[in-house]
Amino acid sequence: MAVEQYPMGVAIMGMMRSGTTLVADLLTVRGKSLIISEPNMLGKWNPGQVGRTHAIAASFGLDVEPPPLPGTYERNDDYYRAAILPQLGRLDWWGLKYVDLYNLKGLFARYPAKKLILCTRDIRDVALSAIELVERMRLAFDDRKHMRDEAWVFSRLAYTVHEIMALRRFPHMVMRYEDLAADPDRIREELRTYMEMKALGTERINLQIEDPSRTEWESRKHESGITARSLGRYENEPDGPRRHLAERLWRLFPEYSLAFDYEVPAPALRLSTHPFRLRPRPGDNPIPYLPTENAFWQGPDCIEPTFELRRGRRLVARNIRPKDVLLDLGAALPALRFLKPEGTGYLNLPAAKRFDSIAAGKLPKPGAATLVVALDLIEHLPDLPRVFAALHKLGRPMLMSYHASDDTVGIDRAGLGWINHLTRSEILTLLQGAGFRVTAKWNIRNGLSLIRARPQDKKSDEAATGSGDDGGT
Amino acid sequence: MSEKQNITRTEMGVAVMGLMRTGTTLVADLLTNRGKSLVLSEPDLLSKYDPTLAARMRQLAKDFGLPAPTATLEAGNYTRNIDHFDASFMAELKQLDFWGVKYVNMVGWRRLFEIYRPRKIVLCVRDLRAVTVSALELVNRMRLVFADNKHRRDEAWVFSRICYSVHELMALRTLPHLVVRYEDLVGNPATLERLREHVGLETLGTERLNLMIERASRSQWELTKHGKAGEISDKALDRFAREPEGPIRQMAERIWRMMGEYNVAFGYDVPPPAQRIRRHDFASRVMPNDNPINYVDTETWNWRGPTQLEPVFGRRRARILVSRNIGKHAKILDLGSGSTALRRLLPNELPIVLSDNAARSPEFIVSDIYRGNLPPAENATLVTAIGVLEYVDDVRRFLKQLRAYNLPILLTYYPTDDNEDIDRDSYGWRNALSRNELMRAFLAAGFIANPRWAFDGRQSAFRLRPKPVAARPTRKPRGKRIAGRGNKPVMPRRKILEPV
Repeated sequence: MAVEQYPMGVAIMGMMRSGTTLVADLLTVRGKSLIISEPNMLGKWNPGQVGRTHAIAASFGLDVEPPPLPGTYERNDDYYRAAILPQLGRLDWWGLKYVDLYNLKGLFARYPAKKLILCTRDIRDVALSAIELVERMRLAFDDRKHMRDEAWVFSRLAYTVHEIMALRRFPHMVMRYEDLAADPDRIREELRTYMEMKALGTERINLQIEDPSRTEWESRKHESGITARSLGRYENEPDGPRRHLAERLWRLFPEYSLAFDYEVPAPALRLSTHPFRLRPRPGDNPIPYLPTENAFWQGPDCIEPTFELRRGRRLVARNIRPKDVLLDLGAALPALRFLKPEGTGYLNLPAAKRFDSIAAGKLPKPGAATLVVALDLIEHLPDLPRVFAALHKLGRPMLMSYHASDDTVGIDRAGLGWINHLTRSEILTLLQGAGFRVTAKWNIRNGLSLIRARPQDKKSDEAATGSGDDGGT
Repeated sequence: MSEKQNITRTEMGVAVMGLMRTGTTLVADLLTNRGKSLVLSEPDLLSKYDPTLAARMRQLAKDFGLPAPTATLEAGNYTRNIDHFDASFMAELKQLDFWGVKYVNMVGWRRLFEIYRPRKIVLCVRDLRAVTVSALELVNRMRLVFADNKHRRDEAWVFSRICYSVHELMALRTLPHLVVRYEDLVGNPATLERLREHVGLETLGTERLNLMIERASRSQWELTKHGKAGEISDKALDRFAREPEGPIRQMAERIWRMMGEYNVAFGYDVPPPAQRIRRHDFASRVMPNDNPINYVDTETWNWRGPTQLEPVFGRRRARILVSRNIGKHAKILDLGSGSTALRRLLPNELPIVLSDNAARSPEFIVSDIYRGNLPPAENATLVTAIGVLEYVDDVRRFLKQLRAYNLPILLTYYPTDDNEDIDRDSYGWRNALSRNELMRAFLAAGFIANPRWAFDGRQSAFRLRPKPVAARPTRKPRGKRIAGRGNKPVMPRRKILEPV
């Protein structure tokens, strides 16, 4: 079958959490046009994905055969071309919506799009919303090869920014989430005019086939309309690792902010030498897609806090004992829960995520926890003696990561959002002064050290002075 | 061409490329080290042979210490400058550690790089607002004149040339390069060290060989400003900050607001979203090497510029119209001149006094024009105010001051009726008058105004004549007024501005 028989009417491409599903539904009108959300056309046969696509088509009212048994087709596209595209060809037009912008060259070579809509949003809000989505949907993979952690959010968004900047070279319409939410009538009219439609769709066909954990959450928040309830997320986000991640992405991609009319960071804040930065030639994406999906990927060749956190979590997972129950302090996402060995526990306490409380030395009660974990946290705390004293009061051993200043010579620590700059010796002294007996593995990679601190009585602690680098972790 | 003359070319050691007024000549001199390296400033290699330029290059080579070429400078010997360059210098340049070129005129760099592939590229940049103000000053100080009458150096030329160069620089970024920011060059010694390392010199040059072959109007000014010994000074760093409010500051800001990608690429401030200029013919494109500006257009004296309203191009059109409506014996006071362009448009070198709110060259009278403080008329017989009134805070006061000259005035304005589609605030305009309001204001100030409405579609020109102050009317004897068939009073014939 010649693919040209069914040219794509529109491709909706965007950052995740930028309203792409909503735009897909606005352009879906029964009997006239259908946008299919994330069909992964060129991907290997995936029963889940083709099942979702079938559900959209069936929900829309197309008479399509259900996906065949595994082994019938090698790729999703084989099924689409056999069962879905002939039906789509009877409509005025059809389209695809993607936030997973992988192999776009191949996609457009096979299905050239007549129109292109780019969905964008302030990247800080995107990052925060993406973290919330990951958390709410409890995205995890049993195979342990995939991981939805902060490093995934960081690298996936960075990858997508590169692709979106490259897509700008084609004629397109930009759909800013902020405009759609703040002035829905005007933007809907612009969208309708661009697509030359008589009326936009009113159903949420694409949203309804999403995971219920997402559908219900979105429906609860926005009810049946387009609301401005998700605007200004970054402004309302308290200080802490989530905000740091969002801000770092924003500082990394001033070109994106400029291209889509967002605020641009001041020159001193921009991360102009980062390996993930945008290149002079759009389309020259330095981030390979597949590694972003790999839970073991080490990330860019520099200190990138989200990847340091990923490394720290793996180190912790290897250094906990059976039956340990973890209290994960300050973590934006509970990724450690999916890394820890069988038989160990994980306390997901909301209070443990409150960075401002932790910084003030107000820690949650440890309850059943047997080990406190503090990763990518200590560097961000202004008053370490107070926090260490509070940690000591918990009476639990602790595993923490730290980048000592003597291991990060020449690194712009302030640029990483770190506000204290202690040497190995100074951090040891502080911990010992707080009543911990300390062992450490220094400079494992990129200056990352893992420190095990066991609370002791003050008296016995004084006797233990001198403990230090033993590689005991 | 040189291949035919059996001249073997070598790779170029370094190409210094940059916007004008970004320290490119200084960098060329820093990379020029007697016996080791020579960087030639603006050799214009691919253009038609120019004996004057060739003589300048020979002077530079001689100052540097290269042996005098045997070939003559006669025009018939060479087709292009590159032919003279190859014949006169190539053999000697090959003996050096490296040689290079420096260009702010970036037309044709792709072809040049194919002929002489540069091993290293240095890109010189500076805050666009400072570049603009400084470029205009240079144009005014150097009194650039072109005998062909096809080229002119006015604000529109500065505007379009800078925009053109920004696009080319963004394309050059795709090649491996070192960025030298003017602000760092004059303020941070580490930049000099990076430059030295980049080209692989043991020490940087200390002489100003390239500056010395420039016209005296430029070299003397630069040396006076920065020091006779040729030291690097930061005296030009606050160039934009010192520029007062008015059309030139607005012009500088407009370029900066339009070229956000340049600002991001080279680490400069970016205006907030509401101030950015997006949909403009000159704005940055997605792909580098997609320059929307044709170089030849920028060099054409009456090019109309982008399709959007761009005040500097409006000013150019207005000057042309006004210059054609000035009498043969007029002595002119030009308010808010910006550049010396009006002088070049006038016939027979009519005397003209240039004035502005900043000293754009020594001949300018400085006065806070836009706040209504006008310079003295001296012996002028005509006052011109082109592209000025929009930037005036208090129009009534300004017109009153104009009236005080008691001279005819030629003035331009963008009435709101003809410009309903534009955001006047975005242009930095301080007032918004309709045709009607404008005429009333002229009348109230004591002028009889003859308009030429929307002569370029948007802009109107006015000839204002001081209304004679009426003598106290003599009381007529009371009596019955008898209607009769008398002659109708004859109205004076108005002189309408001639069309272009």
